[in-house]
Amino acid sequence: MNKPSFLQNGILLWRNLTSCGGAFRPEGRDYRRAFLINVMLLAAMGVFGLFTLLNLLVFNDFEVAMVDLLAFICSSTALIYFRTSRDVERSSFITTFIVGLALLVFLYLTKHYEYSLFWLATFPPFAYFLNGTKRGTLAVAMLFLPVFVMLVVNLGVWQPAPYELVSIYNISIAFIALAILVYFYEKSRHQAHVQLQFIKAREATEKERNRLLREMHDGLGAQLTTALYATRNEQASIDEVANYLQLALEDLRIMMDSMQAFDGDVATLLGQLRYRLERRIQQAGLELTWKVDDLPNFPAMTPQDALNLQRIVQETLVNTIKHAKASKISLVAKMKAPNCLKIQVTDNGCGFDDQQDGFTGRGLSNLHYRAVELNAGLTINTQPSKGCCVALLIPVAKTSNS
Amino acid sequence: MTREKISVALVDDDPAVRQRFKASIEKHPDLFWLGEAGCVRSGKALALSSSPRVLLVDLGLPDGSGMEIIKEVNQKQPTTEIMVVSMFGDEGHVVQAIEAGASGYILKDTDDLSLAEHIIQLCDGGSPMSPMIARHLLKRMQATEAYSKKNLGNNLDDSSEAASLTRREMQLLKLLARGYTYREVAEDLNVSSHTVNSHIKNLYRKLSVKTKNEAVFAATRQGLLDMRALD
Repeated sequence: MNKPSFLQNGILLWRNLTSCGGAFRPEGRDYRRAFLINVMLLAAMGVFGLFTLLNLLVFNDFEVAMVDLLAFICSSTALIYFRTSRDVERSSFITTFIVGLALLVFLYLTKHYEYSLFWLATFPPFAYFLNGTKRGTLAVAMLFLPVFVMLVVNLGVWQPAPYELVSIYNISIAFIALAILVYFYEKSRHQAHVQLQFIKAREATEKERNRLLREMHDGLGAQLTTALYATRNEQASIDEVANYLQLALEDLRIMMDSMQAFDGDVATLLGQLRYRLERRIQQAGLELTWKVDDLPNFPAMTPQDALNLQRIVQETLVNTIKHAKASKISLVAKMKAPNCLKIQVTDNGCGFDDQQDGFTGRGLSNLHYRAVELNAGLTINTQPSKGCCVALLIPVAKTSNS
Repeated sequence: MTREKISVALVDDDPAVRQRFKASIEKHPDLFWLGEAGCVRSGKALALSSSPRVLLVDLGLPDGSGMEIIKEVNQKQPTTEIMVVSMFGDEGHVVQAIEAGASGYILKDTDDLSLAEHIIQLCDGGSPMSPMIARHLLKRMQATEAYSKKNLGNNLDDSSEAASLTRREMQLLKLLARGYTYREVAEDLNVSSHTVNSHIKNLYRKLSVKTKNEAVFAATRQGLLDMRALD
C-alpha cells in the first residue's frame, strides 16, 4: 500500500509544481505556458544544481561552480516568483534571461573547453517555447550574436580542447536536458490539442442544442400550440387542425434534413427543400418555376452556413405561400461570378410597403439576421401590388466540381 | 383496360397504422390487401408464404429491424417489390433500405389517395426519389465505379457494365438531386414521363445489383469465393 501512495504523492506534487498549486486550470488559456515555465525552471534548477556540486566536488572548478550556484539561486527565485505572482509574460522573460545569461557566462569562463558549446543548443527551445516565434528569435539572436563574435575572434587563439570525463558529463547531460525540454513541450502541445478538441466538441454540441431548442420553440412548439388551442376552443374545423399538424410534421422533416451531413452541395439542399414544400406550394395554387443550375460544390461552406441558407430560402418561400396571394413564384440559383452564388425568389403577389412598420416585423429581421450570419447580401425588392423579389448573394470561397 | 390487382402486405408494429393502410388499400379498386404482420418473424413468414407483389416494411420493429426482412425477401423472392414505411423519409434510413433491396419509400402520413398512387407508381416504374437520396445514390455509384475501375481492371467488364450508370441515367439523377420533378425532368431530357419512370426503376435495381457486386468483390478479396465458380 505504501508504494502506490508514494507514487501518487509524487504525481500530486508534480501537478502542484507545474500548475502553480492548481492556479492554472488545464482548460485555461495560460495553462500550457505556465506548465512549460515551471518545467523549464525545474529543469534549469536541476541542471545548475547538479553542476554546482559537480564543479565543486569533482572538477574543482570554483568559478564555474559559482556561476552555476548563482544561476540555481536565480531559477529557484524565479520559480517562487512565478508561483506567487502568476505573471506568465514576465516569468517567461526572466526564465529565458537567466538561462541565456548563465550559458553565456559559462562559455566566457570555460571557452570551448569541456564541450561547453553543446549547451548552447538547449537555448533555442527555451527561447521559442516560452516567448513565441518573434521574441524567441530576438532572444536567440541576442545570445548567439556575442557567441559567434567570441568564436570568430578566438579563431586561432583557442587550442584544441581535451576530451576527458568532464566532456562526457557535459555532452550527455546537455543532450538529456534538451530531450527533456522537447519532450515536455511536445507533451504540453498534445495536451493542449486534446483540450482544444474537447472544448470545440462541447461548443459544437452546445450550439447544436441551442439551435434545436430555438427551432422547436419557434417552429414546432408554436404550430402544435396553435393546433391545440384551435381544437380546445373548437374554433377551427378538423381540416384546419389537420393542416396545422401536417405543417408541424413537414417542419420536423425539414429539421431532420438540416441535421444530415452537409458536404457543400447547395443544389441538393435547395432541391430537398422544394421536395418538402411541394405539397404546400401546390395547395396554395402557386405555379412554381424552378431553375437551379448544376452548381459546383462549396467545400468551405459549414453546416451552420447551410442551415442559415436553408432557413432563408424556406422562410422566403413560406412567406410567399402564406402572405403574398401570388399565382406565380420562381426560384433561380446560379453562379453570378466564380466566387458568388446568387439565389433569387420572385413572386407576382401583393408585395408590401417595406417602409411600413408592420412589415419590418420578426420574419424579415430573422431573414436579415441569418443573412449576416451567412456573410451574404440580402436585398428585398417590393412595392404594394407589384410582387416581391428576394435576392441572396453568397460569397463562396474555393469551389470544386463534384 | 383491366389489369391484375396489385397484392399488398404490410409489416408495422403500430396497429393504428396497419388499420389505416388496410382501409385505404381496400378502398382502391386496383389494390388488394393480402395481410399484415407486427414483427420481423411474422413479417418474414407472411411475405415468404403469401408472396405479395408489394411489401411495405417499417424499419423499427419490436423484435429487430425491418432491414432483415428486406434483405431476406429481396434475396429469396425477387418478384416482390419492397417499400420502406418511414416517418421522416430521411437519408440515413432510406438509403440503407434501398441498398438492401427496397425500391422506394413511403411516408407514414401520406394521405389515402397518394398512398395508393405511390404503390401503383412503384409497380409501373420508379417510386418517388427525394433529391437528397438521388444525390446520395449518385455519389455512391460514382464511388463504386471509380473503385471497380481502379481495382478490377478488365476482369469483370460484363457485370460492372451492367451495373454502371448510362449517361442518361446520370443526367436524370443529377436533375432529381437539384429538385426537379419527374415531369420537369421528362421535359428537360425530351422523353416521356413513362421513360423517366422506367429509368428510375432501373436505377433502384442497379443500386442493389451494385451492392451485390460489392459483396462479391469483398468476398473474393477475402478468399471466400472463387470468381471462376460464379460463371
